Amino acid sequence: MLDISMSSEDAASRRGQTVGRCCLKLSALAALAILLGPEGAYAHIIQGTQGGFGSGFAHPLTGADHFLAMFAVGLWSAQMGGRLVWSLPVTFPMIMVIGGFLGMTGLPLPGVEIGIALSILALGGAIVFAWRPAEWMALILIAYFGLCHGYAHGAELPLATDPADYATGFVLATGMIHLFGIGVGTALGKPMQGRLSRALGAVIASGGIYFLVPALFAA
Amino acid sequence: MAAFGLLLIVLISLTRQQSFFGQWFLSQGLALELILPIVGLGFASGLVSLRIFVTALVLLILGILCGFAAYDRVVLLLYVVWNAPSDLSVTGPISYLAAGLPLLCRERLRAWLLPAAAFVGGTMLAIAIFWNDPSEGDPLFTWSPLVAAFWTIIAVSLTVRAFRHDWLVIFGRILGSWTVAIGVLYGGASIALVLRPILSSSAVSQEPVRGAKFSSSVESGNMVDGKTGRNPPWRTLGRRPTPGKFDVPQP
Repeated sequence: MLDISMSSEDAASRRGQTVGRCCLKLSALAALAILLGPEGAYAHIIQGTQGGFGSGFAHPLTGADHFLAMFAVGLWSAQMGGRLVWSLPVTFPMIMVIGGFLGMTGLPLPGVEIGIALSILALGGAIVFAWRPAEWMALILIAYFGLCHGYAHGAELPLATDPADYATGFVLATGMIHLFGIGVGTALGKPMQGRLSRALGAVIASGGIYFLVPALFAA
Repeated sequence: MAAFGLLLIVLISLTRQQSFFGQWFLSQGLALELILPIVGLGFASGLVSLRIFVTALVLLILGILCGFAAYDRVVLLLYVVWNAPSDLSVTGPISYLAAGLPLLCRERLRAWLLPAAAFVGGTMLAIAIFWNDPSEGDPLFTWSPLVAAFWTIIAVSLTVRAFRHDWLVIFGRILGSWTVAIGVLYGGASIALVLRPILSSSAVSQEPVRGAKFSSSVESGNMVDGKTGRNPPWRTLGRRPTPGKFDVPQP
């Protein structure tokens, strides 16, 4: 059932579009469910610099650098289609938590800020040029970027008042941005031969330059 | 079935101001650490055959019984190995991993892994319920989260089964990666709280007490968790747990 790579290109593309539409709906539904969810979801929120679920959920949404990178992962995976529609968004959080653990323990990882800025630039560039690398190459690239983003988040996690709710909110928000990116990428994939999607990639890449320049100067 | 469950939650939330149980159930019985892994297990159950689903349910019940029966021993083991800083930070990550791994696997492996994961999930659920029971044995506080968990797993499983489609399998994998990621981050935060001072230069510069197995506060018998104000479990074995930070204050 999961052997998408085995099926024909057309079938994979059609399946990718179905997945994309569903992703868009699912991310909207998930956002609605969280907004209208039971009080229990917010039971452990404590006001302060770092809180619980709300704080973790807001973290990837409010940081433009993280948001652009996560969104670009979804957009790029939708642009490539096939198996990569789900394998990139699955790989990213899995590697991100390894980076998160390194950050939490305080082990040094040099060049994190540059890595984050570079991730936005590289992913935006990949979308602009509609780059379709081999799956292993795309996964390695995503893994490196996930490590940098995870490290930055992880360094803040043990300071959170409630790490459980913070981690839950943070991962859910990250995943929803991925789904949103897949949905947008699928919706923009067909009209004007995907030029809209590539234009969005250019905006993301320019955001990457905006973050890269100060990171390089700071280094 | 879903409507009935939601109606029950709404009724409890409407009466929560008057009822201590209502407050506790909404904040503890439906805590994310309990419900989200169960949602994951339910989703994975919806992707396997009916026979495997029934087996997983039976093993979930066995796991719950095992958790209640061997509570003291399991908690002591988890505390000694994990040095957990809070109640659910012991059971939460294990439950998340148990729920996420079957979702991530291929179909054939999922069929083998799900029953084992259900057993582990059941054990952790029982420990979490036992731990967070402020009533010291009132069946209402024990049974209500169990019923909620069973309702969740069956409702999610039947829903997935009804709408089973290729994209739902893909979404299951994405959900699995989220669940595993939450578990690793959550567990990692607990471990990092222990590792961070060890790895930091200030902690390294402190010379350990010769021959001391534990820190000086533990050796002197004064160890009370600074965050939760709870005694370590090896001092409270045989007694019901002291209320921790997750407990709702008495009205």
